[in-house]
Amino acid sequence: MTTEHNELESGIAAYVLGSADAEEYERLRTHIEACARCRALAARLSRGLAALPLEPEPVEPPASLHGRVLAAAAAAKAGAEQHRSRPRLQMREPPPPRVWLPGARFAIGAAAALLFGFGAVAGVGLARLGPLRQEPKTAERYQLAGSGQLAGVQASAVRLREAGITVVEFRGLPEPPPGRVYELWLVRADGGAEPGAVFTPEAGGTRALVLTADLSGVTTLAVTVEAGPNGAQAPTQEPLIKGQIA
Amino acid sequence: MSAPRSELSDPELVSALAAGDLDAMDLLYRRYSTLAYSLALRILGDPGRAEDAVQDAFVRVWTRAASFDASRGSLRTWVLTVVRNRAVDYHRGAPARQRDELELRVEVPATGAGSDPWREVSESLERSAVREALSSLPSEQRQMIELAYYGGYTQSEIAQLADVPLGTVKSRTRLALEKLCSYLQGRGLIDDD
Repeated sequence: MTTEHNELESGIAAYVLGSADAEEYERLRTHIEACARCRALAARLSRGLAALPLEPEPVEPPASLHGRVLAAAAAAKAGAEQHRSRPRLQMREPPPPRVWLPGARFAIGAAAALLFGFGAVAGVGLARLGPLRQEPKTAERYQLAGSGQLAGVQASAVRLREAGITVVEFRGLPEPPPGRVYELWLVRADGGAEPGAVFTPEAGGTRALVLTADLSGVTTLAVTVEAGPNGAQAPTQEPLIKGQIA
Repeated sequence: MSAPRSELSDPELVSALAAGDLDAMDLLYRRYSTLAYSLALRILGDPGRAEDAVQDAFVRVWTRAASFDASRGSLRTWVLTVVRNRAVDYHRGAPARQRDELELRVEVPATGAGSDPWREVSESLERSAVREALSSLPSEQRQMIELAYYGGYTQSEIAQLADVPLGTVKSRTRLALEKLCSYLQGRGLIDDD
């Protein structure tokens, strides 16, 4: 091997680590593409490099980061979809009226009918999350309160109206009884309730939900315990967690 | 996706991410967030900045999933490479073209997703092996890995920081990475050549 080759070969480790000096980087990249021996060396060193990220002591990220990441991804998706097509409103046939249990304090009216159905709506405006450490100025924060067996649960909702995204986070959520699941309801001012999501807590009692459905007209989020695995079409009990989001 | 979400293999997860499936993004986060945050915190030393770097990295993986060839590389390696690069960008105060270009060139073979308990066991074994390998290195070689990988410094910058010739930095770096590979290979944690 030539001196020049030996010199380049000596830089392969730096190339794999991404620490080659700028002017050498291009030479190394070109050389690796052309030299099978150095390509094999780079591949071998890469396998060792791939293990380095496991060295740090494991540290659980803050629970709030989960929701932030999902919200950011949803916002990125909404932005991409807006660029691909013009926003359009998707209507579907109004579902049959869904009412809360008669007598429940929560319900407003015993036989409320939904005024209209709603489906996923392409973003009508993009709200980027802005500077990384700040929520967008248009983010609305709401607290939800637990009661009864879920009195100790902490829950909040972050609503990004322009992006059409709402992230709902739970902490301290106990496992539901066997065969049961939690169900999130989207409740309108007239008491009509639409299923929002069915979920169970993750390890540590946390859970983050990303809602991309149109929440126009939805004034309250509520959570009940329903039959698993798919939940119910109408709530079968008073809400155990609830909060206004309008 | 036909399989339960938690049982998706990494290649299946990449496909779902590329298709814009937010549930897949949720699974990606639950599968790799601890490793990602731990690495970012190791590099930055600041929880707030580590959170920002992790968020930035996961969104980058989300938006570039269609460009990643899961048949040629490990999703875990790719995710952690992106996290490391974002963290180093924060640490150094500027992105580097070299880091960006190398991100999608990950060619470390996938080792299979496995179920969550076995994933944790595997990671724990790998972590022990990597720590043993690094602690077995002479301090001057370990310093090269520390400055290049966790610090994001170039070879010339390392030469200045360590006050040694550039050629010495290159040879120490190569020896360190070679020894790391040999140790892990001897433990059966990476494939033979």
